[in-house]
Amino acid sequence: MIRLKNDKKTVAVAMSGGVDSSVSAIILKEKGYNVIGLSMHLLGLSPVNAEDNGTCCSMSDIIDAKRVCVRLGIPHFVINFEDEFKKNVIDSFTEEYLKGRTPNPCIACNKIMKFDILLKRATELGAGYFATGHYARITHNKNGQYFLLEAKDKSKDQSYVLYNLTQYTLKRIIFPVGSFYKKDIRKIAMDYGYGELSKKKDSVEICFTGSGNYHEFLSSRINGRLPEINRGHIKNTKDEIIGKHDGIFHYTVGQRKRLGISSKTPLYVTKINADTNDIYVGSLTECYGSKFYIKDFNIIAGEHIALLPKMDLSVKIRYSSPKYKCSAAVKNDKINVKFNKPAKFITPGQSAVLYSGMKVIGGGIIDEKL
Amino acid sequence: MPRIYLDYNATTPVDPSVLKEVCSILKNYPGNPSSVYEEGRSARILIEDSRQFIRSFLGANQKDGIIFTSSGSESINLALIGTVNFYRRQNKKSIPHIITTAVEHPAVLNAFKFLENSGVETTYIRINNSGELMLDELLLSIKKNTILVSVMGANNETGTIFPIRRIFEQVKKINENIIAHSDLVQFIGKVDFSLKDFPLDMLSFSGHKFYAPKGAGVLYFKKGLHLDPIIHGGHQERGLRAGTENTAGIAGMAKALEIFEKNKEQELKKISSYGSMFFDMLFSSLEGIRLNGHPVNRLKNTINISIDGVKSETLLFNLDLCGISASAGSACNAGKFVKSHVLEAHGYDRSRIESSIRFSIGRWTTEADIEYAVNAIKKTTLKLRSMT
Repeated sequence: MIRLKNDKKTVAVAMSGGVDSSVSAIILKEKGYNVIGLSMHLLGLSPVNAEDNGTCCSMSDIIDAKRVCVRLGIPHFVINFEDEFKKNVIDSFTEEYLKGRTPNPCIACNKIMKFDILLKRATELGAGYFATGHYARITHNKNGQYFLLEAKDKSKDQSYVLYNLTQYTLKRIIFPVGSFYKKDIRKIAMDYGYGELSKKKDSVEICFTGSGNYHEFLSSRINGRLPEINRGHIKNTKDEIIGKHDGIFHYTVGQRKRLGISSKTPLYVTKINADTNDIYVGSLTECYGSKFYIKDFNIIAGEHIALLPKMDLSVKIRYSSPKYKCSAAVKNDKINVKFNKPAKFITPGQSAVLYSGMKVIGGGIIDEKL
Repeated sequence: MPRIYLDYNATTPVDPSVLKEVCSILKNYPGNPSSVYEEGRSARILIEDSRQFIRSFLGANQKDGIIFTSSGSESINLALIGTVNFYRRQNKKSIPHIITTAVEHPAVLNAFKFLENSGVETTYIRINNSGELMLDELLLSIKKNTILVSVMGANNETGTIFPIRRIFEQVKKINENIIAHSDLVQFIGKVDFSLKDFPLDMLSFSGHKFYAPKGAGVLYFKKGLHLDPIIHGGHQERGLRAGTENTAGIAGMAKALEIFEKNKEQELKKISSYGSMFFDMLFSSLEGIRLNGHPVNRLKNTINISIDGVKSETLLFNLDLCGISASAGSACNAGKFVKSHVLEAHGYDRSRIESSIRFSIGRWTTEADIEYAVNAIKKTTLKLRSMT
């Protein structure tokens, strides 16, 4: 029998080679799904560093994913997305830094690479469902409206990077590890005989910059291409020149180290002006703001757009930020966010994600304009 | 799910009789063939008998060289690099020129690139859009310092057969000292071959393409030719290939050729008729498919087609899920489907290249396999076309 219909019980699991996505495949297999493993090959490798011990999605990680699939007796395919990854993630990462913003490349990677391009491939393989190893949960109400929730394990919650999910994608997605604690996921890996995997470290750094230092990565991509963007002035909030810098892309709002300016009180980057190539610094108190705009936003349940001003909201302004109580309202193509109490380091380019309790309402990119 | 293997050009399963032989050798011939005592002697004789058999299988002369290597790629590297290195040692002041085709296997092309980087002159001869080698171009490119021409017997991706007899006859007419090498990896075991019909000085092939285990290859070279080794160490294989011989692999390769020789008439007939059947069924069941490579002069076991509106990768993955093994061009690396240089050399457009897929049948392919495969290809294609 040739099965070619889109099979609702067939699930494609995006497998990075890490413990979370591997255990996702194990869980789904145990639940009786027809499981297909998919790995993205994102970074070109020269023969010299082909055995890099790298981060997410490196060659050795792909072999780890394949090993799990072979042992589970499920198919595994590696899809080469080097070009797509460069275009959609790496290049825009660089461009954003050149504009004086501080991007989070994981947002674009999840939105475009995983939940658009890879999900489409999964559909082409007849998979009605698509799973990843993210720590987040999905629910739906009686009306068939889908919602994204924080993970059960709050310390591992990744709902922040998933705010671009839509009703279309949420309907198809399964997050098998979202309702487990990380320690239980490691235990499952161990119990199923994947001892090595269960001990694998979490990937925390940006996967494509190598050795975790994005300055060198950016310099190598930028220098020579646009030499004139490099040098510029460091100014205080009174617009007085107090130092110089080697390129705005080395700086991020809230940065305290590597400023090269002596001062009695600690100085922080408060603002980056890409047009004038100036870095502004100030004291900690000058880093506080009470409102900002979000652009390029996504609201997961359409009905929430109108309800936003009436909702009890909080906002995360970076991956590891606390949730700040706030109010918000959609205004034209932006969301206007007001903190209940001023918060520090509102960083243009980072994503701001709105929550109502543990529910992700939506999010977008923090705009530089106030 | 039962698997239907349609990728015999990538590698073949080991024939059960070969397997039996190999297991028995691994068990009963544990000695190092270079050792002076009983276990060494018996292993040595096994290897020399295999060498003798392969020599006669190829129609070679008693004094011609048969070197056992680890693979087709190693044989090719030894032939090309070994020849050039020897020549350069003898002719310190002269820069050698070597010629091959644009559609060779990477083993040849990358060995050429390697030599190119060390200062050797190279020429790559183009093909026309039917896959035919531009022989005039080849003959015109021959220079005073041309020492070697390497042309494959049959293309691994398209199955197109080059008329190597005519090609090398013409080459030899211009300069009979030019060394004629052929990569026969896809040829031996698929076509009736004898050196009596081909003016070759060197040829390379490997056992795993004709039902012997992976890890054994052969380089034939005519008496009087000189090469430098590329693997240095002991004196094995006349000092041309160091390393303890793969006794079981070598004897398995000879056994596989023996089986082929015994059944070749019947087998080649069967594969030819199944190949035609596969082709006819494919082309009658689907619109918008094109055959890649030469329409007539090709291996009958190989069908390389482009299917409009379907990406090779997606089709391959879907066929795998239906239990069918096929491939797109050469085996891919790190999931990267490198655009086939072979199809590119035909001048095909991008979409034709990106929608190409290769099926290659072999000894255990059945009519039912072909029917199932055609059905699956059809259904998958229609599904994928409807999704775009």
